[in-house]
Amino acid sequence: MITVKLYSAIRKYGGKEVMFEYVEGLTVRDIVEKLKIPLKEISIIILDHFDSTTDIMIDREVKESSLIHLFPPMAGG
Amino acid sequence: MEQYSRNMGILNQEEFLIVKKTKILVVGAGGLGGYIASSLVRLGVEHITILDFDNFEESNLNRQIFCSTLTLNKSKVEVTKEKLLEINPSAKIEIMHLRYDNDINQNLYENIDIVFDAVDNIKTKILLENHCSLHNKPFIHGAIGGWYGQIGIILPGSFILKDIYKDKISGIEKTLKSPTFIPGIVGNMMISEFLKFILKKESLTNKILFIDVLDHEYRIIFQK
Repeated sequence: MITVKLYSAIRKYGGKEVMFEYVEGLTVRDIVEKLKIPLKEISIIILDHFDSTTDIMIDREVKESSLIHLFPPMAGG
Repeated sequence: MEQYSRNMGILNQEEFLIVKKTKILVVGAGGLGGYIASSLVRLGVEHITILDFDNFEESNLNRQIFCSTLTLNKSKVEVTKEKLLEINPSAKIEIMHLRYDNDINQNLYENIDIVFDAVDNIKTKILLENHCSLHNKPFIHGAIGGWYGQIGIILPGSFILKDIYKDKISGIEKTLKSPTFIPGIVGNMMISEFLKFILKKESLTNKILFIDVLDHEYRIIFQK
């Protein structure tokens, strides 16, 4: 199973944590699309302890037991 | 010295002198900026420049430390200076009542050691990151929205904000807004990181810490 953890405002798309069945070739983008999260609402993705920005991470393939964290942009002062 | 005696449990004299002598620029005197400026003076920092174009308005009363019914419609930087001098009358407080944009006079960075990002929009945050890099100044980044915040120390040349905000125009603050407690929490976490940084202790250098005070989750979400 793949675990997806959602943070702050992104939780409206699925709560704190969502599980997905693994299928070969599944990417982070597939999961984000399944959750119906607009890409502009994600700024940082952590996949199995590797953190980077959405554009770098979005097309990465996930593994059988991957853990994904999705964080939105924040800029208030 | 008595005024700083309660800080001296974690600072020795030599460290306190470093605090006193560090020259700070705080960009933004709203939610984060007010707490940052207040805590810098209470920590013992004596040279602070504060920049903000805005005046206090009613919607600031919920969270901006120097906003009260007595200061409504007054310049944020002028009120902030007045309040800071009430805390430490010998502090050197410079104020600039203007908007931080591309036309900002770059001489601003002369005689500044560290910059605090207390602005409320992505465009200005990235501009500030560029200018700090240009002038070789480390800057303490902070952002808030709802129950959440993020902080980090950005070293010149690392361009972390350019990476993480990329094509974004705004963030969660547009919908989650800024409740009473979040600027104080995040602003003071920026202060403790600042202190660790200038004292050369381990700090969030080139790292972004995500802060969730609703569920108490704290996680480094980006590093370079």
